[in-house]
Amino acid sequence: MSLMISSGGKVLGKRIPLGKEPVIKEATVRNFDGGWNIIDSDLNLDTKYAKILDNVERAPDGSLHMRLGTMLLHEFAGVGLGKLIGAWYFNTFIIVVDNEGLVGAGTADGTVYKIFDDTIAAALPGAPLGWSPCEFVSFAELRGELMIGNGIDKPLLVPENLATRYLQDLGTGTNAFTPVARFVRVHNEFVVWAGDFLLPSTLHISARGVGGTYVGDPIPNDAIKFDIATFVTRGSSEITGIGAYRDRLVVCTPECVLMVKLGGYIDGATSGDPQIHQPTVDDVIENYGSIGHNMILSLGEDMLFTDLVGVPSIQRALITNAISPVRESQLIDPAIQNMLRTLSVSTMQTRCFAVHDKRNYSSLFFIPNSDVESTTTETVCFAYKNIRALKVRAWSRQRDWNWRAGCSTAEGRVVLCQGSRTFVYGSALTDEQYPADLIGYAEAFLDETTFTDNTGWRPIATLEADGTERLFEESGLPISFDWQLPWADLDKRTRTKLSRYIKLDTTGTADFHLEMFVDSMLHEKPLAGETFDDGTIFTDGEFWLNTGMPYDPQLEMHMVGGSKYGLGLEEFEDWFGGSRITSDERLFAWPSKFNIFKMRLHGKSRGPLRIISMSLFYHTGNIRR
Amino acid sequence: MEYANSTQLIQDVVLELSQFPGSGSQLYAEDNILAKLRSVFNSLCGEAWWPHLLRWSSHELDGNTGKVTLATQFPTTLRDFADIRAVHIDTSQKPIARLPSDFNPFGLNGTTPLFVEPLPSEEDTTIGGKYLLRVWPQQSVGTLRVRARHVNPNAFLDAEVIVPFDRFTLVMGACMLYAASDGNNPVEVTAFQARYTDALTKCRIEISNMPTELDTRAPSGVTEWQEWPV
Repeated sequence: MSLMISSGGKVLGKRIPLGKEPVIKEATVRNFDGGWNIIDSDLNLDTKYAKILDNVERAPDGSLHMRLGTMLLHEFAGVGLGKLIGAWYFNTFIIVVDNEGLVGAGTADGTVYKIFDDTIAAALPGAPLGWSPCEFVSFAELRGELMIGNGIDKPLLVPENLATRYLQDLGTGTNAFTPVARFVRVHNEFVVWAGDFLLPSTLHISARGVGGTYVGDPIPNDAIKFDIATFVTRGSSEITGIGAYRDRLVVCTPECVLMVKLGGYIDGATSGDPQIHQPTVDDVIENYGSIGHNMILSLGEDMLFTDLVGVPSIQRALITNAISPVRESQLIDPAIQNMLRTLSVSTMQTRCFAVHDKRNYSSLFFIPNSDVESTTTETVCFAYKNIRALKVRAWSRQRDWNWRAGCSTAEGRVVLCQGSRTFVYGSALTDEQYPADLIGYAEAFLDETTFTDNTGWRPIATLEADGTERLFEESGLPISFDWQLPWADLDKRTRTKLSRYIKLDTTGTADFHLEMFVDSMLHEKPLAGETFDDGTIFTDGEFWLNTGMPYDPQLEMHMVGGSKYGLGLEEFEDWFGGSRITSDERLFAWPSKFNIFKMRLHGKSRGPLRIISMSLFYHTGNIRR
Repeated sequence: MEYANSTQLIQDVVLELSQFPGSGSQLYAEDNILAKLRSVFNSLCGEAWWPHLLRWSSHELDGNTGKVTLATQFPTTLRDFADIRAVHIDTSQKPIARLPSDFNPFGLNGTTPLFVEPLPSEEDTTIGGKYLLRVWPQQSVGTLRVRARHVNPNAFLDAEVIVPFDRFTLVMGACMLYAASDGNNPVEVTAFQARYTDALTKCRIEISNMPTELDTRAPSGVTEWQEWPV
């Protein structure tokens, strides 16, 4: 190509040395079905996977969206409850238990009640004491009544009218034989208790269809105790949790999963004796187990649970009907293992929990980042999106949360507990797409930053600086998010590529930074930090304030979601007069030279943000740089 | 000619290339576009003695080295000896001749300049201005009137400084180079080139059509007119 800059004989750039194919190409990423993947090398990974996927997840509509925030639902401190350790949705109420053994109930409009404490217990027949301080509870429902066990005290029964009392044998009105156990599950007309400190491998199975009648209570009574120890073929026989999968009770130990069938009867010893309930163990799955009862999710066709390696599930084979295990978390197992390795068995059993988010098709597994509760600053959530109809199985990691317990409601809302409060997690419904965390409870600095541990100011302001009333929804903390793609070579590994433009399709209003790394240069060299005044360092070679390895992008651009107006159309203090709006179809120059490249999109903002696609315009060059 | 500053020129190019507009929006295109604008501008400056770039300036000879005095040295708007159109002695209509390269000037005597030559760069090291030239004999004294092409050195450094060349021509030239670098659509490059050539032709026509002095008794005619291969 001959370009005549000067027409008078002098020629500038008569031959433009392109050094590249004179055809601009386009590569688009729009499939996010793979989710988070850390097990595979990101030098050889499809772009449907993400090397980092923090607070971003594959949405049901196929896009990648910033996770939703949470809004304050209940404050139980006013009725005397402290740190909530368990929650369950029951009869339109959120039933919670605190670490002092008090039980509360909250309605959808935020009204809270205390439904059990020493005073309420003292008013019951026999004037029993209330519950002791505890760190763990589990819940199960039978005949429209809720049973709660903590493994320390006799279980409680919460009827529809919330007049809480102790679970008892209805014939005698006593709970003398009611088991004291941590785990409770209702299955096939039986209430099953496990986690008895005195009988750790024993299932306490109630009389059929009756929640309060157990071995020792008078007839009619077909309750039994069933020791599973002899069926455990690997590891400890201590029961760590019980779940249910279709017609099987699933009993988990640390390294085995037992399929127990309830409801089988054998004749009594002599003619005329009542039949005896005889559970059977018809399958034992080795090398799979559960770290805790509250990490088990029964989801109809699946049962998900968590062991020391990751998150397996059990499923029924299509043809043979046999139950087989599948390790669902294979792509992120190292991340789960890394979290669990610092936790004691006690912490895993008491403070790890899982919630199924029906509205978002996600199973959420929460693991604290410290074995000591007082030093726990984050409960990392491993979220598993499983949309069977679309064959989507994608993991992501939800960060900057510190929940202690949670549950899901009949309508599919997820309620999470922190301190004496419950918060409701956002959903796809228009008025529930919460753009920030802890709305109604905490707020950020004026510049939308938070403290370094991602906490904010409390209590929230109710008035603006000018004295006008401040909307409740304007509080909350912005959400950090980070999406990092694998390295990509645009199908020509050894050829130089020259990027020209970048194009993103996004919706939402969050702002974010788009970065591109080239040629395996992801981080700067580690910052050494400071020496002592005399120039020496610590004997282990470390410096003061070693700040790690900051990212080293070749290109970086600040952008906002496609639903913003910008360019003078926004209100003041809200991108007035500027910003790069990704819905604009004009080109964003994105010049770089590389053999392989990696994209990263991150930020800390109020949502929503939805990424539909990302396109790169580029030339393919030759093999020489 | 319509002039514009570099910010306006960049935004013109951004719009022509259908890039996302807004000052400061194009983190990586704006520097590139600016470089292309500067390249086009520098090339065009040397294309002709554009009247709007020519200035008269006065300088005193130091009577010793053939250079002008420190106080009257050339301003930074005059970048190079090649930008000097003519050097006159005070009120003389006759420009001083360029020193022939095969002429030994050391035999020259007197205090009236006979020849002028560019000053070697190693002898022209002052900050804030330049001597640029030397006259022979070096003992020459008096005032020099210099006609030269002046350009604000901040034209591409300060976003608010006007770039003294036709806005449309510069924009089309930069677009042509950018589109060629994109390499996407040869037709687009050709279109930009055609628009650029047209704009440049109009600029040339402006100086070719300017009134000239027809009185042959005049000591010097206008010399800016020229043949133009249209």
